[in-house]
Amino acid sequence: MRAGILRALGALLAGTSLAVAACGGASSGGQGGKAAPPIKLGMIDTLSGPVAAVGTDGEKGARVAVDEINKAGGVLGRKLQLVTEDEQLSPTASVKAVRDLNSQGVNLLFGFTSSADALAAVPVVKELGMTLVAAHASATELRTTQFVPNFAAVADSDAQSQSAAPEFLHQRFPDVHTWNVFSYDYLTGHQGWNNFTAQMRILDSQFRVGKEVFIPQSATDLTPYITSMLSALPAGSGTTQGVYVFLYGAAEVNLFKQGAPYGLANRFKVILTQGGGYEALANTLKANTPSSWVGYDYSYKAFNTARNRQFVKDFEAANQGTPPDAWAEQSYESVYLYEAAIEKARSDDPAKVMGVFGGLTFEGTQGKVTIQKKDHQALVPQTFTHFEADPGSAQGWKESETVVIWPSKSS
Amino acid sequence: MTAVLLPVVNGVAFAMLLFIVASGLTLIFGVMRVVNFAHGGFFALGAFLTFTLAAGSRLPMAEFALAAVGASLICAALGMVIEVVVFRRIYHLSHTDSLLATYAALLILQGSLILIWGNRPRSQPLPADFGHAVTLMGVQVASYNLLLIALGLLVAVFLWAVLIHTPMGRMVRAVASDRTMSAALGINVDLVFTGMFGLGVFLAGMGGALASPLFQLDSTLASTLVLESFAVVLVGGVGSVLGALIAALLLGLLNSFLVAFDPVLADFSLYIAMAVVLLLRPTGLLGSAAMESR
Repeated sequence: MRAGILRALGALLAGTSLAVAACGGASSGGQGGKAAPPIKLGMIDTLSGPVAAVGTDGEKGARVAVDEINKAGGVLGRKLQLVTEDEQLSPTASVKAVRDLNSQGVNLLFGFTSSADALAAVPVVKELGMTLVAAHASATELRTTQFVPNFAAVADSDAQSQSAAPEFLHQRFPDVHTWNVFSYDYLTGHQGWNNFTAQMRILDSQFRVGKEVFIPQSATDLTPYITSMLSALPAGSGTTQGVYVFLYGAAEVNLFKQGAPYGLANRFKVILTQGGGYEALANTLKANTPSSWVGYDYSYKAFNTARNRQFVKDFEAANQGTPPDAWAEQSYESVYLYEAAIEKARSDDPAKVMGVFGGLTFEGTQGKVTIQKKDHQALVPQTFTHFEADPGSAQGWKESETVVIWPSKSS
Repeated sequence: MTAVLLPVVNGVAFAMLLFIVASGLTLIFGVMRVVNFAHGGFFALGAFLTFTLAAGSRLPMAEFALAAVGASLICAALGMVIEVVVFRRIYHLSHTDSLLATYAALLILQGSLILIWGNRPRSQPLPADFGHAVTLMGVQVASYNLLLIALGLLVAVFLWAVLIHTPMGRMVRAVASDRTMSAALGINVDLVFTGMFGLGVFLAGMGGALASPLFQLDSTLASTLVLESFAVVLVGGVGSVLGALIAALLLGLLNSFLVAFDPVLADFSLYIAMAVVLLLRPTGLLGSAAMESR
């Protein structure tokens, strides 16, 4: 009897195990029924601190792209999954973030607000066999002396933006031959002005360099720099000369705030700012916005492509009607770059993905985007938008015109 | 003449703003022996509060002044609460510990700014009556800069008068000199500390309020002018208001002249001045003797 009970129990256990195994096999689909794991994309961007808007807007743009792609069935039948890490505007934190993502099996990266952080990360990305798409970082070194095949860029390079600016200005203001500059007193600031003047010399045989004012990044009181510029300007400069403002962040705003009593904006026929966000100056100064052109690589109103219309619609739906800015768009494009690369490589293996970066094309918000073979730089246009004060409106400013320029120089 | 006058006016205007902020810092350290790292946080808070009270609009000077004073008083009240609740417990600790405590207060203030006003930068316009430049001896000078010069001098005279010529000022100097003896003589040292901290923070908030039309308002404002303020305190001599005034003028003028005549050196003007003065006089220009000599 006892033996019989034991045999019955044994049979019951065996039968239960077989049944569980069969159910497990059925629910996972055996060879074809188990859901494929998602393809993970790692976004490393500035999610905290004073420039957190870059990373948080970037994340919003990336999530719109991920949702769009997943709704359409994913990539190679697999969903995309976004994993984020905070760059913290620190090279050390950035490198740690790269290693953290690698340890989680996330090897397809994009993002980076700061070129310095991207430059720190690139050797580690190469060492670990990952890939990195620069969404915002624009430094020339990433595309030249520090270039590695694991790298690609959606962000416009400094060379692109600074060659497009003279092309636009010479086209639009052919009678302005003398250009002054306010720029940061650091490598990128000087390089940017050198790129600008080099291109201007090619375009305009009458080009002259006016007053050059380079401002230390730590400077708080800009009045001495402003009066230094103003005292060098001749009478009538307001109808004959232009100024190139290559500042960003607080300094760009502080320049015009501290210059307002001196009528700084009226001492130039043309003001072009580059380096800052597309609407940053106007959104901060509102009814005190100077009449100025802003050069940037994206304006949501500037492109009437199907992809851009979809992007703006989906972004506004996900963000209480707020339209996307350039940071959101750059991250959005980065995700679509990966979609195209993974499709072309038929794999999410970073070694295969980086192998198809050069020459890759995909539909972007600005039209067809081509990734150059020599430096994996996306060929993207620059938008130049005119802003001016509009005290009668709720926001205090308006955009009166946008011009799109495809630069002749890409890097 | 123009080549010299312009840097002088620019330098003095900036120096006055710097002095207003640094005077609060030197008073707190001089009396309480606390290095108040949170000073920058109160500077930023004063600026943001002014923006809110002014609704970010271009106000007539009288209304802007009300907003500025209101913002500074709120900062002072908050500062006194923090002094009673937090700092009073750390006076017996080492300088390192009190430094950490004030740094923690700075981080909390900075985080609070983001929590309340968000990450997007703001801008406070200049007061309506001061949005232009005037011509002074052939040189264009922003009228708001002239206002800053006048207010800076007013604050200097006020502090000198209170510290030197009032019974309250004598009490403050006594506590700064010897708190144990002062307590033994019946002076309420805790009250003096709270009052001085409140005054110091009021000056930081006032500095922020006056600076609000000149700078973009964002969370980094807490570190704007802080380095320069500490430099002024060290160069002028800890605890010396007159020393802070002289040091602020020295640093402001040096920077202004270097920008005009040798821009490459302008970024180093702060450090050049600190190095030279501290090498020659390690206690600063007027040192700690200044508060006892009157």
